[in-house]
Amino acid sequence: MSSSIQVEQVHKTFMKPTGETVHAVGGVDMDLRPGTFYSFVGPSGCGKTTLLHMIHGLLPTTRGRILLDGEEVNGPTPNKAVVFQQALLLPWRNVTDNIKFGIENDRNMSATERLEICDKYTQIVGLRGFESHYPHELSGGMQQRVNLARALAVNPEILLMDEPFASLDAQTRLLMQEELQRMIDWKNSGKIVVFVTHDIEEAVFLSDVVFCFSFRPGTIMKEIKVPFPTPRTLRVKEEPEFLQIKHDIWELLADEARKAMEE
Amino acid sequence: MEVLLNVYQQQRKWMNAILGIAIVTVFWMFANWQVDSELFFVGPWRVVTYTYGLFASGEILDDLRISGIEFFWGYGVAAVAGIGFGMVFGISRIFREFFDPWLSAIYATPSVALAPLIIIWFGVDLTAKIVIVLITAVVPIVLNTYTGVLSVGKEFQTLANSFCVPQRQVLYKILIPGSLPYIVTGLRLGISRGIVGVVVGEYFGAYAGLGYQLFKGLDTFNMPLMMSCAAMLAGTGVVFNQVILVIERRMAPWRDTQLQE
Repeated sequence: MSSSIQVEQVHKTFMKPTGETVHAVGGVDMDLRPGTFYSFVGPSGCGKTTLLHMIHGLLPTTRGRILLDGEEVNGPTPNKAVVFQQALLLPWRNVTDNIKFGIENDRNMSATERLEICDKYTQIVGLRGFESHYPHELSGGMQQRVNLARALAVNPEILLMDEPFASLDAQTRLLMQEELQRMIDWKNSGKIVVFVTHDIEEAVFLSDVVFCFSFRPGTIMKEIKVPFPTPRTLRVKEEPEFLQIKHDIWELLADEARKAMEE
Repeated sequence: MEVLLNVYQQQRKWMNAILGIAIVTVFWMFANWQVDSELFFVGPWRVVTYTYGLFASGEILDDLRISGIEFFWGYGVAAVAGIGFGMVFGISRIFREFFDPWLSAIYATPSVALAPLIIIWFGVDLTAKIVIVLITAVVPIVLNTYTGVLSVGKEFQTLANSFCVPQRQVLYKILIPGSLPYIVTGLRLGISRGIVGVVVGEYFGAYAGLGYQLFKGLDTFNMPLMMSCAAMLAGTGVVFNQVILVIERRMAPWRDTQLQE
């Protein structure tokens, strides 16, 4: 299992309800390789989430194209899965049935196999014992674990994560960052992970490669490779080299963030 | 004293309901004692004994059967059609835009205004009453189902798309369970309106039924009969409402704790 993605000169323009056009993404090129964790960082409104949706196929590109293994993306397919910013769990389903959501239509799987898969990912995300709980009985962090398990259960080659930790409290967020690496295991499974965030530290900590986006129209200002071996522990965040990378990215993004704020 | 207070805390809901009934009953008895004319008013005990008499002699059984048939057919069809149309309204924008004005018009029209027309079209037998119950009960069910479907967030549609769930499965995986609380509200409102429909239908020519007995009581100055029929109609509404709530709790265990909070 090893897919690759080419993003070629992708643009996206939106029409606001007021009739005004917004140039959200302005000519992005990237080449995503299997077994790699990529982050998109940039100020609010830099089109990073829009690009994520276009890679997924939920949104069409205005210009340019996105290729998955040489074929143009034109809609969601079962080899891609999203972890949403809001957990988006179905309130009427318990943990197991929520995790099952994406594999219910896989005809190659028997009911027992589906349950085994749910069981496996319930364990991986650390929710053993909560199988029959309903979403409203879970904390925000646990809901995000279910959200992640639901995406992992389809065993996607491409895992797209849209600010999944944005709504968590600071401590839970740190723990989730550390655990996420073990839960996804992208190096061994050859997955491509795309992680959208505006937290620079989070991006550097998790990623093999960080893409820094400019403000609208979003373009890639810099592609930064993070040299630390994975999986990493939170202690990495105190190393001088880590701090240096973080500092460099902030230097690069500060002006763009200011533009976003003035908008 | 402390023991009593503890029992009260634990069974609070029931105790308060019983206390509420007791308070109103005392006022009722007091009013009856003041009026003291059976042509005008009767007390609670008289309503109970009179109702018991109606059952003991068996003279009310046929009326209960007739009204029951009217209600169950009318309400049953209203429930099925109401949920179905509500779904269509919620899903199809074009359908909504075409027929929303009609829905509002039927909702605003009192059933008393439509009943004479329906009696003329369908005759004085059961069919006309069933139709009256149907059109009075169906509107809140359609409206609530439709609001329920619209209340299911667009993001769940996105979720289904992104996991490649086919559109027809979205109906029973997302839309129906998501709008269930609204559907239940619609079904409960439909019950009270359906009971109104029974009485209104029987007002315009009938040979039997709870509503018919009520109006017979009016014509013959039989106050105990009128109040007994009114009490039976009220009791039926309360019981059916509880039945729907129990069904909801069975079907939607995920809402249980939310309701208690």
